[in-house]
This record gives sequence, structure tokens and C-alpha cells, in this order.
Amino acid sequence: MMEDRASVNPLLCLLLGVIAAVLQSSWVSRVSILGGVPNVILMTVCVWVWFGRSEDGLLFGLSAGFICDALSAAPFGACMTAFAAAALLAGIIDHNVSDGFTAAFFGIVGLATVLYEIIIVIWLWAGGHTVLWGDLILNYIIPSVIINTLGAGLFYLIGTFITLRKQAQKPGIL
Amino acid sequence: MKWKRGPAILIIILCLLAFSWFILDQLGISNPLSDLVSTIIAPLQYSANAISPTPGEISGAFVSEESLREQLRAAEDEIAQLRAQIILLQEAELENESLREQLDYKNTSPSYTLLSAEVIGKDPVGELDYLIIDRGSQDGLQVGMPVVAPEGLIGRVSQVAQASSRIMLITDPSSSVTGIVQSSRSSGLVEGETGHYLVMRYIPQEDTITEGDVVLTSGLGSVFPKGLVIGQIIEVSRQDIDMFQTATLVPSVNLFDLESVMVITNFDSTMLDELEEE
Repeated sequence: MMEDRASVNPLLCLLLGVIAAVLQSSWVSRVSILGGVPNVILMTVCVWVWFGRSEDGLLFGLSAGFICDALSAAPFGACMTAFAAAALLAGIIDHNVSDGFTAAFFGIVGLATVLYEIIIVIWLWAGGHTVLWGDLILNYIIPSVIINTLGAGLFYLIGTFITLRKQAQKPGIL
Repeated sequence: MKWKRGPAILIIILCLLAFSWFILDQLGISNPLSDLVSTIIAPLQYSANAISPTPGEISGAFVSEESLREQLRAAEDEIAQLRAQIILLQEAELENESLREQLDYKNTSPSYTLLSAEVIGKDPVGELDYLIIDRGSQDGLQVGMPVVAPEGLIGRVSQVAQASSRIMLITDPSSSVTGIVQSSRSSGLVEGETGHYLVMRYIPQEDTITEGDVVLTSGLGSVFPKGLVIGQIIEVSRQDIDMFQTATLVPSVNLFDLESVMVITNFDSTMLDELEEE
């Protein structure tokens, strides 16, 4: 099944990554639910890895992470490594465990969010930012994991729609 | 899994670019890439921000007519009360002027030059409380300049690019401001907390502070001008065994829904030192 997945033009991956980063830092960051902020880049990375090719998802995550790093006060590289690690984790689980098992997708998003947040917090701590661990876990990380896991449903539907359309456009075998 | 050449090459280029950026940052060398990316991204952020509705606009679309009528009535009552207060304040101002003249009082309070700026984004890393504004070095902004709103203090400029700047909000955990309680004149250190709250620490145990008290900048440390409203106390934590008491504050400015801010461009930290010497 993995080999059947269509690849996307790498430059398009880069461009979409930049657009996602701009949206994340402008409009999406204003949406706060229970203290957490939905991470559209992370959800897109997971959907891309699930429905498409892992390297395309990784490239998208890295380009979005590059722009996020440029805009953020966090040490440079924090977002890139966090998105890359999340894409690799999603790819490993998708490749080895969850092929075709829909519920596993939501597990992947939850785990990818936890990994992403841990890496970001470690970068912030190493970069000299004040990290209030308990406060951060309770008031930001847990709400973010819940929001991303639930919100990924919408991204899953979009991914399903795009995949079905691509399959419909393919010429028949017979 | 077999990787395709196109994405692999781009991934390597991106990683090399990021690595060189990281090294430049670590060496403290001025990074031309940073300015270039900020200059390209700032207009995109501005456009994305301009075409997208704010959370307030989204929730406003679902407000019932009855609720709007109630809000209008409440607003009218508030206007009436504020008008009465303005009259009283004008009287007090006139009295103040006359007393100043009688005492030949030297007006030492400096007047500040304000530069308005639009908020075009927030830090994409949610753990950090930073804003991105559409003014930069080409507008005369410098690192350390205080940022305010009509309701009070917002933060200070932490990084300046050519066409945009980054503002560290007072709610960021790395932010600290010396504050003073307006009523009791108790001083302490106001620090940011995750979840858009502030905590005022190191308030002497013997000082009386209560919920509802307003906290202002003290001007100590010369980072912020004196007398700006920081927030209001909502909870006081006092234990007999502690040397100090702690208060939780809600910021006077709604930092989450900010659309525009003002930067004090002529605040010189030495100005306060000179005043103190006088």
C-alpha cells in the first residue's frame, strides 16, 4: 500500500509549508480552546504521512518549521526538529503498525503532539527561557494534545476526500 | 522505503540552511537571513491577519438580538457613570493646576512619543507569549522599547527586523517587571505565568494588599516608565511562615485579542535615573 501512495511536487510541499506557517503564526494562533492552540502544521504533517508519502510530509514539516523558527523567539531549530521528529514518529507508526486502521491515526496525532511539545520545551529550557513545567503541562500541553487529536478528524476527512479524488482520476486497470 | 531524489535534496538543503542559521545565531553575528525572511513573511502575515476574522468577530456573529439590547443598556449606563466621573476629574484637575501654580511645582513627568503598530501575528510556538508587529528598524524601533495600550502595559520590544518586530508580553514566563500596589505602595516583582496570568512576588509580609488593588510599574530597574497599569490583584496568598506574600494578577490589557499596540519610542532608561538623582 505504501508504494501506491502518490507523491507531490517537492516545491509544492515547500510552498504549502510556508503558507501553513504564516497561517499558524497569524490567524490560528488567535484561536485558543481551554488554553491550548491547535497546531495546523502538526495535523497536516500527520495527515500527509498517513495518506501520502513520508518524505513529502517530512519536507512539508521542515519548511513550515523553518519559517516558524524564523518568526519565533525560541532558539533557531526548535520547530524544525520538533516537526521532523513528529513526522518521523508518524511515519514509523504508520509503516509498521497501523496500516489501514483508522483509529490509529488519532493515536498518531496525539503521540506526535506529545513528542513535538517535549522537544519544544527542551529547546526552550536549553535556550535559557523560563520553563514552568507543571504549569505548562497542565495549562498548555494537555489541552493542546486534546485539541490536536480531536481537530485531526477534520484533517482526516480532507485527506480522505483528496485521496478518493486522486483514485477516481486514475485510469482503470481493465 | 525508497526515497525519491527531489524531496531528499530539498530536505538536505533546508537542514544545511537551518544549521548555518543556528551557528550564526550562536556566534551572535547579525543574521542577514533573518531580516530577509522577516521582510518576506511580514506582508503575508499582515494579509492573512487582515482577511481572517478575529475570535471576537466569530463569536459576535452568533449573538442574539436580546443579548445585544442588554449589552447596549449596560454600555449606556457605563457611559453615564463615566461622564459623571469625567466631570469630577476635570474639577480635580483644575484644583491640581491651581495648587501646582501656588507651590511653583516643577513638572518633572516626561511626555512620551507613541508609535502605533498593528499586531500581525503571534509566536508560532504556543509556549511563548510573544507578538509580532508591523513596525521595525525602518520606523525607528529598538530593542527594549516599552509597548503599551490605552489600558496599560503590554511588554517590550525583544527583537527588531527591518519591517517587523517581536514583542515579549508581560505574561511570558521569562518576563519580569518591578511593580507597586497603587493603594498600599507595596512593591514586588511581577512575573508572567502560563495561562495569561501574572504573579507578583516578594511583597513584604507586613504590607496590606487586597483583591481588587491595582498594580502599577514602579520604574525601578529603568526598564519601564513609572506609573503604567500592569493589572489587578485577583488573589492573595499569605502564609505566616513565609517572608513574603504573593498575589495573582489579571493583566489590565486583554493580551489575547490585541489588534494594535503603541510603542514608546523616546523612553530612555537613563531618564528615570536622572529624575531620581534630582
